[in-house]
Amino acid sequence: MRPLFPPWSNTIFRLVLALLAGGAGGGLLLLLLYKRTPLQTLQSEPVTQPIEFDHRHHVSDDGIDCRYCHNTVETSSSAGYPATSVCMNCHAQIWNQSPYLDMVRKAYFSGQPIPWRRVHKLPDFVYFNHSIHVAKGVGCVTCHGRVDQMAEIRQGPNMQMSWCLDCHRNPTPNIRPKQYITAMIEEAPGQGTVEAKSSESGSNTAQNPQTMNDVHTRTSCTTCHR
Amino acid sequence: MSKRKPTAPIESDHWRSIDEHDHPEAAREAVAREFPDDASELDGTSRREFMQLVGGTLALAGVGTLAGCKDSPEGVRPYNVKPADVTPGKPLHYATTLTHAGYASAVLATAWEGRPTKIEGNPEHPFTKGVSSSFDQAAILSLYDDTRAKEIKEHGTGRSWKQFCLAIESHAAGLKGDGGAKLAFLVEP
Repeated sequence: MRPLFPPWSNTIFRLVLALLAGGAGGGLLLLLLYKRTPLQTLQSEPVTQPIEFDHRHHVSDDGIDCRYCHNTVETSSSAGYPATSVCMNCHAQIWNQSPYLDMVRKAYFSGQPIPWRRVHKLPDFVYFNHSIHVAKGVGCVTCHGRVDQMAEIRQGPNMQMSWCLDCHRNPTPNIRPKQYITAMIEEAPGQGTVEAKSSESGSNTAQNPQTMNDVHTRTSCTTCHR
Repeated sequence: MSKRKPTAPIESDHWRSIDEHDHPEAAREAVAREFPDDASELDGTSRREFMQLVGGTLALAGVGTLAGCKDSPEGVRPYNVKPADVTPGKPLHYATTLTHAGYASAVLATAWEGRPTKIEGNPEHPFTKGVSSSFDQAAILSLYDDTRAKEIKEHGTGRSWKQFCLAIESHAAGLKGDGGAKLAFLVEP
């Protein structure tokens, strides 16, 4: 009797099999790539806050240093979000009738906090410490971008591990003298003149006085994944 | 674990949920049937419709997860007035005492922004010298009991400490008259 499957059905079968296997692998690859697109990394996505706090005004116009509000950046792993009392330090006197600051006054007098929305967030399995980065000479603008030009704060870099490693493997171009840490300029005077030591060497500032801030490359896994 | 026939009566003082405790007969009946009524019948839809619905739901779920993968930004709630000794991101250690069966143990509680996370023995105590018992270690969980209040509430609405103080002040004048005889605190033993 006539066979059920014609000879060309073999080709079809193999083709479909290859497509399925390729499709599965390709699908996985697409997923991995998709997670690294700005849609998922939230790069350059401005975050709308409940109060229209404009950094351009407070930093560029008023000249307030980053550390006035984010005051635990030099001592703690978290830079800190300013307490409402920090806002009221000025705004109890300036613009104290303005409707823009209604939520601030309401929060301060009721005791319930302002519901800010977080912009820069690393996954929970990553340990990030602000104070060590500031202590070693990484400027605010290196990671957070030109905050003084942002109406709504947006995430500057893509915050992927590869971006962190780029600097951790070669910190030299990003280290600047301490007095320019909060300066909103991408290239501070004296930036990139530091010789970063390898992570194996101990602290030997005496033998190598050119080394600013005793910077080592930190590429061990447990630096961040503790 | 003892084997019990499904139709045997449930012992009256063993229960596994508040519902079971309140309605033992209903719970007993529910437990007795391995398969509840109508478990194997498909009412209302034909098998073909059911399969179409399942396929459609799966497709929709796939599209949904892909498009909705991005989490909306998480909320941050800073202090209104930051206490002077608290630095967000740095823990504070408090020397305190836990009591158990009439004995006190000296412990150090590690608290992050006022939230205790770990209890260890206090190494400076002359008797215990830093030893903590399993009861001390477990005591941290009593602070995170789900039934403990997570915030001050007034008739079910969340309030701040400040609002509570203001509310109490307004009642204080009325209470002073009879020395607080009409004031009652309901607390757990």
